[in-house]
Formats: sequence, structure tokens, C-alpha cells
Amino acid sequence: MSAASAEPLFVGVQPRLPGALGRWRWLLAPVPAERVAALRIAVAVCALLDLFVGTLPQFHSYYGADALGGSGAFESRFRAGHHYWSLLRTLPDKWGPQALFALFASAACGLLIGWRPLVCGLVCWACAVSFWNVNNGLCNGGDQVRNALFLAVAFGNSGAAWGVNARCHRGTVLVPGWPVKALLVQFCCLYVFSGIYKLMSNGWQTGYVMYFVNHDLEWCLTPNLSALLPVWVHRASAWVTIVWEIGFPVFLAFRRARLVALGLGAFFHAVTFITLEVGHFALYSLAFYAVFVPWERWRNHAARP
Amino acid sequence: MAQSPHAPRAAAAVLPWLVGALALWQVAFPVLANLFEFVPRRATPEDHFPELSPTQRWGRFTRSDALQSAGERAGDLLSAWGELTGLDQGWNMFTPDFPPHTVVPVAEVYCADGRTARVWSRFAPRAPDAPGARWPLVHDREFNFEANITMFGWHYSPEARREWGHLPARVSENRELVRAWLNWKSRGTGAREARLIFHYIPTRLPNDAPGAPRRPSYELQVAKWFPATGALEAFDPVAARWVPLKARSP
Repeated sequence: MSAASAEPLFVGVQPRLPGALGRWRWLLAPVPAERVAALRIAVAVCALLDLFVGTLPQFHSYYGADALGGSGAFESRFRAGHHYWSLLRTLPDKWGPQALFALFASAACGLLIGWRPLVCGLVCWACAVSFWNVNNGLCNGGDQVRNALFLAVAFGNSGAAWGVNARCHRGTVLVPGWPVKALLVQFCCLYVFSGIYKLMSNGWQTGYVMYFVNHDLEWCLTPNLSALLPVWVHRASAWVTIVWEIGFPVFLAFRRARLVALGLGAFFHAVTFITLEVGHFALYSLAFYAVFVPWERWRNHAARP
Repeated sequence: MAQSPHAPRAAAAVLPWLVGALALWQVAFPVLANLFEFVPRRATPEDHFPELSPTQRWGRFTRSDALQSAGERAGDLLSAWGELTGLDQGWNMFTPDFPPHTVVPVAEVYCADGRTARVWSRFAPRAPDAPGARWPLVHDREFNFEANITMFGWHYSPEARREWGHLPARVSENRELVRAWLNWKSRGTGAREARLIFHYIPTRLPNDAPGAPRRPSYELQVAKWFPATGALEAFDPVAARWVPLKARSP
């Protein structure tokens, strides 16, 4: 390997900030391209699962004008004084949802293989926002997470590695870090403010809220197993959740605490995906954790003579 | 997240400045949008329909009209960005509390030929004392739709009936969801009227003895919908009568 080829290659547009902000290293430092590529692939896999497992089998029920949907079913969402929008309001009910679904799925496949991720990411985002707004009743917080993830992979130069448009370079490939930093701030806010609302709740303070959630015959996917756990386990899970959520940004600042917090986060989302009817919220949240895996080390390891 | 020491110098062109502005805004937006939910604002008619946001604090934070208005305009800007980009904030799942019962929505269909039928939610447990497991994700979006309806009746109990005079207002706020769900559940039945009923299955309390019988289930009439006219009525549990809901335009 020549010395020239081992030089890091930077791909993308480095943001310019005024004055002292221009020295904000945390925001401006680039990140290894493999991290953002892994995020892109994880988001694409989750989107395809969401579309083909969670949506397509019931597609007509969800978006048909004679069922739960239709472009005019939820007019209040688009009332004056607000800025919600949906491409489906400009397309006919007869074929619009199907066409947009096909476009959405195609763009998600494009993200999966890394083909024009800026375009595919923005198309996915526009389709996701359109479906989110036209029938918001079908959604939970996972849809807002999905929207944020699509924007991050669109603006993150996520095709610089592991894709059909990846740069051929024998050394380290770096991309602008701000899209994943913005995503990190979004997740920190999600966790911290969730924790604050929980902290203000009597049910969360006593811990009994998780006992009732885990025994709810609709919200819980495995209520038969919940009864096997002692009450204190349900209560402790509520307290651990609050501490982890509120402490998440602080834990990230310390190396060992970071590993524990990230491991706990991935475990939390995986377990709630299997045991609670939170569906795509847990799925997309899990995708976010792909950026924390040091994928570039494997590449560096493989490149060693 | 690992940091690279190689931070390239940004070019002195328009695009890097625009990217910089977007980067700053995207980092600041979630923090500001969530913080502003704790800053009380005066509700406008746009805020009231279909319902007031449960996470936004309502009222005033200062006696100064200028300061109050400035805060509200800043809040408007954050809301507009959240709505345009799909990055709405407000993370308050399972708060302020979770009910000690399962709430199952039921559609009771009255047909023109005099027949009546009940159409239960897909998620209604067949045997509450021997529940089975379900697959994740498969029907998650349908579950969300129903949960968004049943949530407004989460904390009802027969003992608290006299405190539920606000039920018609909650039905009115959620009229689009209620109407769409009743329409879907009664499709193809020839219904002249479809009623939404909440069926409550109490959860065993944490201090109940193992194997203790579950407390009896109970129901609440919530809304009735007339397919021919599209009219919707809501039940007032305090006055024990049906209240016609006036058509409201957004």
C-alpha cells in the first residue's frame, strides 16, 4: 500500500460556520463512512420490513377510501394554521397510495444497495411524511424517528462506503459528521424528555406502570409470560428505564458508561419490540444504534498486510 | 461516537455556508422544540381542532404581552419546521399513567333488517386468563389506530362515571378516527347505525393473591354513527344520554 493511498479521503461538503462555531469540533469532525453506511443499510432493512410486513398485507384497509384512510379522511390534519402536507392529497385515491408505496419501496431498495442515497433518502422521507400525514392514526413515535433517520441517511453521504456508488479508496474514507450528530441529539431529546415526563408521573415513580403495561392483554404481545415475573421485576424495569433515559446523554460522555448505555438501549428496544405492541418504533430506534458500532475497525483490520 | 482527527477545512462558497446553517438548525431544533413545550402559550382556534396537544403547556408564562407573543412566534417557527419535515416532537409515551385494565374497542352494528351484531377488535383476547402471544409488527399499525381511539377512555371506571361529562368533547376531538373505524368495521353489513363501545377487562392487581379471580369486565357506550347521514353522536355518562355532535370544519 502506498503512502498516498493511505491518506484519509473526505467525501461530501464540509459545513462552514461563523466565528467560534467554526471550531466546534464535536459537530464538524467527520466520521468514518462505514458508520453512516451501516446506518443506511439498517434503516433500509427496517423500512422494507415496515413496508412489506407491517403495511402491505393490510394496505387497502389502511389507506383505502372505503376503509380507514383516503386522502380526505383526516382533513383536520391539513387545517389552516398548520404545515402538514402529503403527496397523497394531490394523487387520486384510486391509484395514488399504491404508486407512492411502490416508489417508497423502490427508494428503500436503492438505500439498501447504496444507489444515489441522497435522492433515495429524500424520496423515502417524502413518501414517509406523506403516509404519516394522510392517516396519522396508524402511526406512533416510530414514524417521527423514521422521518429523522431518512433525513440523516440522505444528507450523511451514506453511499461513500458499502454500496454501488462507494468510493474506491484503500485508506480511510470520511464523511461529514453533522447529520449523525443531529440524529444523536434527536435521540437524546427523545430519551431525556420521555424520562422527564415519566419522572412527573405517579405510576412511573412507584414503578407499577410497567406492571400494568406488561399485563395489558392488547399492548403486551406476551402477557402469558409477564405473569411469570415477580412484581418487583416490572417495577425495577420502570425505574431503570427512567434512569437510563434521563442519563443517556451523560452516559455517552464516558467510555465505559457509554458501552453500558448503548448496550442497554439496544436491549431495551429489542425486548420491547418482541414483548410490546410498539412495532416500528422499536425497529427504527434499533437501526439508529448501527452508527455506534466501530465498523471501520474491521476494514482497517482486513486491510492490514 | 468515535471522532476522527481529520476535520477538513470548509470551502468559502455558498453551499458550505448553507450546509452549516442546516447543521446548526438540525442540532438546535430538537432541543428547542422539546423545551418550548414547557413554555406556556395561549391556545388559538388552530390549536383547538382537533385537540390540544397533550405535551404543550397552555396559558401564559409572563404578564408582558410582547414577551409572550415573542415566545409564541418562536414556538410557531419550531412547530412549522416539525410539521414540514415530519420531525414533530412530544415524547410522552405511557404518561401520565397507564390504566389498570385492558380497553378493547367493539363495534355494535344495527342493521336495517333488525339484526344486530358485534364486531370485535382483532386484538380482543379470546381467553383473558389464558392469553396467547402475538407476532410483533404484523398488525402494529392497525393496533395504533385503535389505541389512538381507546386512549381517550383509558381511565374510565364505573365508580368515576360522574367525572366523565367530558366524554362527548373527547369523541368530538377524535371524530375522524371514530368515524373511520366504525365505517371500516361495519363495512358490508348493511348497517343503519354503528356504535363504538369500550370493553374493559380489569388487570389483576399487583397485590392480588396468585390465582385470584379477575374483577368483572364492564363496558362504556362511547359513540354512535349513522352511515346514511354521516352524523355522529357521543354518549354523556353523567346525564346518561346521547349528544349529537355538531359538524365542525377545520
